[in-house]
Amino acid sequence: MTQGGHISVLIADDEPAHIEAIRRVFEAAGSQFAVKSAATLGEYRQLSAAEPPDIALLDLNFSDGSAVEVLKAPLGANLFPILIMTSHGDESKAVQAIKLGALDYIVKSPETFAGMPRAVERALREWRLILERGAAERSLRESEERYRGLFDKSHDALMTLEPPSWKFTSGNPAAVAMFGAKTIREFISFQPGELSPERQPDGRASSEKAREMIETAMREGSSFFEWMHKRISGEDFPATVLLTRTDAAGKRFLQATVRDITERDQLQKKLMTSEKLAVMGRLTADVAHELNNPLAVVIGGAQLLLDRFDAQTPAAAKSQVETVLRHAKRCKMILGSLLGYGRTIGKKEEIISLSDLIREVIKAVDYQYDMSGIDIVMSHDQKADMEIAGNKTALLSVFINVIRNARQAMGKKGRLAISIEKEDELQLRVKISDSGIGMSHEQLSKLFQPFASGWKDEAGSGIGLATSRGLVETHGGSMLAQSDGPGQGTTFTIFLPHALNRRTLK
Amino acid sequence: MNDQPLLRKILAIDDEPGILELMKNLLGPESYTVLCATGGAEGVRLNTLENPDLIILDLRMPVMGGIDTLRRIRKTDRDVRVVILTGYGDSDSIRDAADLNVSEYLSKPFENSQLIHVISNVFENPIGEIKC
Repeated sequence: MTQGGHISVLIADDEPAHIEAIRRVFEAAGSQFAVKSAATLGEYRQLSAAEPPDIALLDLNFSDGSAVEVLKAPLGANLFPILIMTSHGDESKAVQAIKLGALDYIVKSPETFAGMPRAVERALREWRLILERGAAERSLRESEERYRGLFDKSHDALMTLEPPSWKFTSGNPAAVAMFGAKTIREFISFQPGELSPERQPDGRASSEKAREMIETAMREGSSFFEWMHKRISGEDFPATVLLTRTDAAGKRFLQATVRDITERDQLQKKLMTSEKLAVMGRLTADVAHELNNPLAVVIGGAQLLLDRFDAQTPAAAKSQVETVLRHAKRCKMILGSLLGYGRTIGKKEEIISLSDLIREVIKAVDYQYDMSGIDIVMSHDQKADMEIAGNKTALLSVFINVIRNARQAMGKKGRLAISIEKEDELQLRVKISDSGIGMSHEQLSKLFQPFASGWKDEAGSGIGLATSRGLVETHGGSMLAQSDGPGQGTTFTIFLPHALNRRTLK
Repeated sequence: MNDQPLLRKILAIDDEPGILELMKNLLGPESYTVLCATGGAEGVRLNTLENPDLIILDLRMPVMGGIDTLRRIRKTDRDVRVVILTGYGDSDSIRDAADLNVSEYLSKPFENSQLIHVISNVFENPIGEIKC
């Protein structure tokens, strides 16, 4: 509507008499109507473009064309409503015009001319409704698209579940990917129970616990909890689940948001292990330092005593003091191996040949432990450049530790295979396989945890492998252990970055 | 006449009485006069008082640590030979002592023969020579 309450009407007709008749009717109807007129389609186009009217009354046929040329379908695409005026008998054309975007049609007659102002007002009311409905539909469509976009693009798996069976009724692409389905249809075909292991980590049956969570969400509006899920492949994965009660279209159902927290969990575990290592490192350092002095006194005192012994000293006494001395020295060695490394990291780095390093390690181990019954086979790629950059003391301790473990696993006799190879352009690989007692799956999983070693009493400190792995990691490498089971031997694989890469990394 | 000028005087500074006792028992028969201090402050005092030929100094001591003790000693005495006893991983403190003219380092727990060897080595080198 034009401002000030005027209704601007544009009449287009090639019969001036018709225009006049209609104009008079509007003038008689009141001052709210402002009427303009066009005698040709061209003139109509010009006028309506220059100043769009509130409504147009448009004759069907002009000398320069047909009204259908200016109509736009659908109806709402027109800037203003258009009423088509037809002569009697042209109804079929009028209907076609409506299909093409006219609001309505009026059959020209003295009666209809008289009723024109009312028809216009009615048409405008209808037009307003159409515009409003169009806007509502548009905004609904937009919001639907927006939410559809959120649903489809979310990294969290989103799905809906409906009572009473609590089956999935929808899922987004992230849900399909997370659970490993190929399509949404395949995903929905699974029962929620099939996507969880039988029991949750707390030992409760998944079905029972799920029912409880659903009940909570339905009662309180939502529930948020951690949940062990299962992919279609059978692999379990930890997740957080948010169930939200939703009402739509007279139905009450649940919307679930599932987030895979595998990575977060792994990171947390890693942090906890390194935290444990750090605390332990400080603790052992302090304890070892405290032990230094008394141990120095024991060793020195025993040696002094031995020096003072002479031919008259009973042999038993002498051998007893020798035993004391030997064991005190062993304590010293254990303290040294506990502390010698870990403190040297980051202090000094040099370029080290891996094969030279391993040879030095074998010599050191042979010196400390009897390796005479062990068949050591060493192989290395002669062509490749096997240099690494790192702290030699630390790396020595890593390999000494692994080989000492192997020696303990084998006892006096066995076979130790060591290979040094290029893993790829970036990394070198050292594989150390023993023919020893091997490890169960459970032992393997705890292998690198501090104080979880399988060694009893004197055989190990319980932190060797944990520390070793920490050292390898500070060198930018990684370390893993494999065993086919008890009695099947164990293989340690240590990856270390090639010297050149480490230097460019820095 | 007494032959005391011939006996070399060693001042052992360590907070562990067991170590001091060991030094006495070990170095006495090797013809050294051993003086003992159970802390840094006492060590500084005894050094001024007795003017020993060599100090065996523990790096890790409560109250006044080995490095602090040595800094104080060096304020008045640039020449006394010093052997520092270290524990595991004391490399940072060792670096701190780099400018303090330390003749030798020996890590605890040491063997008797090592200590005797280190001491006689240190005495063979003229005073003031900085070992690298």
